[in-house]
Amino acid sequence: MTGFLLRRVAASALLLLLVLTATFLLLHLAPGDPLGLLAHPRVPPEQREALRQLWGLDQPLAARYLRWLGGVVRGDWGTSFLFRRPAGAVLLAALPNTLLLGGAALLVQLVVAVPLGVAAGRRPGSPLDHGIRVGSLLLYSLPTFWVGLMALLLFAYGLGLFPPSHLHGVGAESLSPGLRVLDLLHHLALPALVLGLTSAGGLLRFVRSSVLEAMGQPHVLAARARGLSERRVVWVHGLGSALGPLLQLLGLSLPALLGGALVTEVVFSWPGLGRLAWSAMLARDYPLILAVTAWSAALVLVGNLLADLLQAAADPRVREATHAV
Amino acid sequence: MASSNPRSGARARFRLLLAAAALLCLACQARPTAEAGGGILVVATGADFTGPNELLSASRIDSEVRSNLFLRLLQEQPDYHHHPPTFAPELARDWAFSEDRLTLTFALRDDVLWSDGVPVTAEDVRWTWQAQTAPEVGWSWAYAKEAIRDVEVVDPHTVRFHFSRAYPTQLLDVNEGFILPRHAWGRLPLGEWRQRADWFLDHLVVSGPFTIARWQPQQELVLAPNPRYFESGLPRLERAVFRVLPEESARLAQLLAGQIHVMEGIPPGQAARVAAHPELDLQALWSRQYSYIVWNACRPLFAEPEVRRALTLAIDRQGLIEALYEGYARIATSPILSSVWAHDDSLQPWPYDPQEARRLLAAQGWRDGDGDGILDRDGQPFRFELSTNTGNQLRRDALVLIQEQLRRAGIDAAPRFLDGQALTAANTAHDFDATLSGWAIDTSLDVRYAFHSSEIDDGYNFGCYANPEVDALIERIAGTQEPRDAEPLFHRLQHLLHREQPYTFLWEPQWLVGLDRRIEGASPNALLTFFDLERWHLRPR
Repeated sequence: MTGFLLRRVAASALLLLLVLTATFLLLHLAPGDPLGLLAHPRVPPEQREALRQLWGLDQPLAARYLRWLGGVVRGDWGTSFLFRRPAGAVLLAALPNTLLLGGAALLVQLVVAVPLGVAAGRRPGSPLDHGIRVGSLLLYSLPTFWVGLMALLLFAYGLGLFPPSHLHGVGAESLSPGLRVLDLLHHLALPALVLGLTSAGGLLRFVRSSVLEAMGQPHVLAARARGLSERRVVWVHGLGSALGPLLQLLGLSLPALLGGALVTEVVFSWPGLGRLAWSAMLARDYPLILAVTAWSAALVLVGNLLADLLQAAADPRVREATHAV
Repeated sequence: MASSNPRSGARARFRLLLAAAALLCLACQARPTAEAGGGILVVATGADFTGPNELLSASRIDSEVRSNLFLRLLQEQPDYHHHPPTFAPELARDWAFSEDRLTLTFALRDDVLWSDGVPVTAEDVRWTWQAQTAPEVGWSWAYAKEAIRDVEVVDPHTVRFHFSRAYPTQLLDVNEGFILPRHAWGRLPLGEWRQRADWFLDHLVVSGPFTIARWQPQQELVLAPNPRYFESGLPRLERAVFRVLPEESARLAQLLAGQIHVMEGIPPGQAARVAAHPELDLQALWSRQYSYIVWNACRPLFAEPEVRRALTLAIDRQGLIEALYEGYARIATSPILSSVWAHDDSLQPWPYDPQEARRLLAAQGWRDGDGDGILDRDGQPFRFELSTNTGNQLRRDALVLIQEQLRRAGIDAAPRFLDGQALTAANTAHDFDATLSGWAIDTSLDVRYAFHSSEIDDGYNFGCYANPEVDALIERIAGTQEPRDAEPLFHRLQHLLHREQPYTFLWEPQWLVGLDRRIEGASPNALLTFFDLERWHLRPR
């Protein structure tokens, strides 16, 4: 298992380097540079050149790459052009907000997908099953930004039940800690529901088909024959056998949640990594784009690695097969 | 098990209901309220504030915020419609040029303190100039200080600027930039400024009416009154909160829902909704911007002035203004905006006249020889790419409509969309046929960068426009000591540009600002929306 883990970590690190190198090259080979946005037309050419030197944009591409890579190895992601602060610090400030939104959305996803998936899987072909399947297909098909905008229109601007943007309301700093937490939850509710619900469709269908398949397995029939309650048969024996692939799917859905968070964060003005990436790309903020890309790529790789590890832990055949390769 | 107890289950449900009720109660507080005093003003901004030090970064919202944190020597007045802009005292109470205009002496107020209690003195003024012009700081606007030879501290409250030459915008250039705190920010070596921009927030001292109470990047910036501001009784607001809302539709929705008090840059298509709202006031200000199409005269297709004029005649600018701007714009005729004193009012916009356009083009040899609806000359169709930047829906729409109008005149313009930086790179490399874009101008009225032939190689004369008379006029304007004396030169310059059409000047849009009607004392203008913010206050509901 340790060898398997080491091989997978080494492969992930290599892949991360490749992703970052490709991003670096694509960014720097695109026409124009950030000075195009910053330089006032009255700035004389010699001063524009001086600014380019100051920002290190006059260096050959290879030199810029090596300097950047050296910095990354030391934990220095460079200074964000947009925020004029270390890109790593800007990213770290936004990270908790994305994790909070992603975590809450994951919770919504699980709370919706697992019970409904189980309910549909238990009664295949029933009106309930049909209803859940159509609903899940709808959730799966609707674009997150559209659902977000509709939710804003209805619940924030129409009914006024939820705030439309930000982590806190105006003047929240004067609230007591308890009310401040409530204020945060109030602001979190709508984006988390939107992100969680739009991500729940796929998981729901997976849980349904897993439960449906498991209910016909001999061990489930045996459990039923032993006289166990229906609840225990379904939730322990039926869903239990689908747990491994389910966990793997959840691992793989981490990056999808992050991708969805980008759209949700922009729609709800949620100050997380997604919005940061969006702003950085518009301003061609190289250091920040690379730092956000690194984090996103790392999350994809960690998600994949987790999925593999969970599967390997659950199924010895996977370990053996990987070892043989 | 606790969950099996029906009473504890009821308690849990009751707690849940309480939490839900508390959440909904918070929702009721979403509307900003005017409290005792001047109230809390809530503003939506599309872009984030980048920090207090203007020498390191600049954006529209940065300028708006910093103009309330720091003082300039003088305050430029938005009165440039009938004469060159005048200046009101700010940090300086008086100023005078020497007879040869090579020295300019300011008498500073002696009652202005930094927010930590240290007096603002002439040493601050001199040190600010040194920081502004330091190559390692790399201030983008350092060009404005190019003719300042030295800044002399005469006494703690008198400072003298020495110039290498006299020119019309000396006062404007001296006044460019806020006066910064030497005693606080001078502790960080200039060479480290670019790497440690966040240091300035930690060591912030201000001289203006407000200071920064809180800044959460990507979320909000909260301004609070500076208790040491020299004008007693000001500012009137308790807080000014700038909330970052990148999406224009979100800003508009929050304005209409009463969740914010001010929104700048209302899209013209939505102006009617704001104007019709009983609690909102729509202010339409003549902005300092114009849109244009630059024709690349480096390419033979656009080398002849008659062809460029024909292209202008083939575009229905008034129709476009009505379709795209709902009337909140007017046709532009020159790079000197109609709202500026030096504009030549005798210039009449070229009319929309496709027949005259075809006649002019025919005189240049362009005829539809093969009957395909597109003009040809020497077997080559009149076909080119018309570029603009992505991310600006108005420009995209304009480009599509212009394509259709040109088509009616027998001209085939293919749209090309590039991101902002790529478009600038293509323009400066003259790697384009025609580009639809815009300029924001300042009150210096300097048009050298766009129309002087010396700016073709390294500057922003994208269209390779070269006319020795225009070059000479730009030089003469720059050498005129009194701005007013340059008026005939400005008029002649505009006349030449109007005749030769290096640009098709499209329109001058209005800057639309939506304000809550409870705001009193507000005087937004095209220079600054939050002009005199210290006098703004909210009338209680």
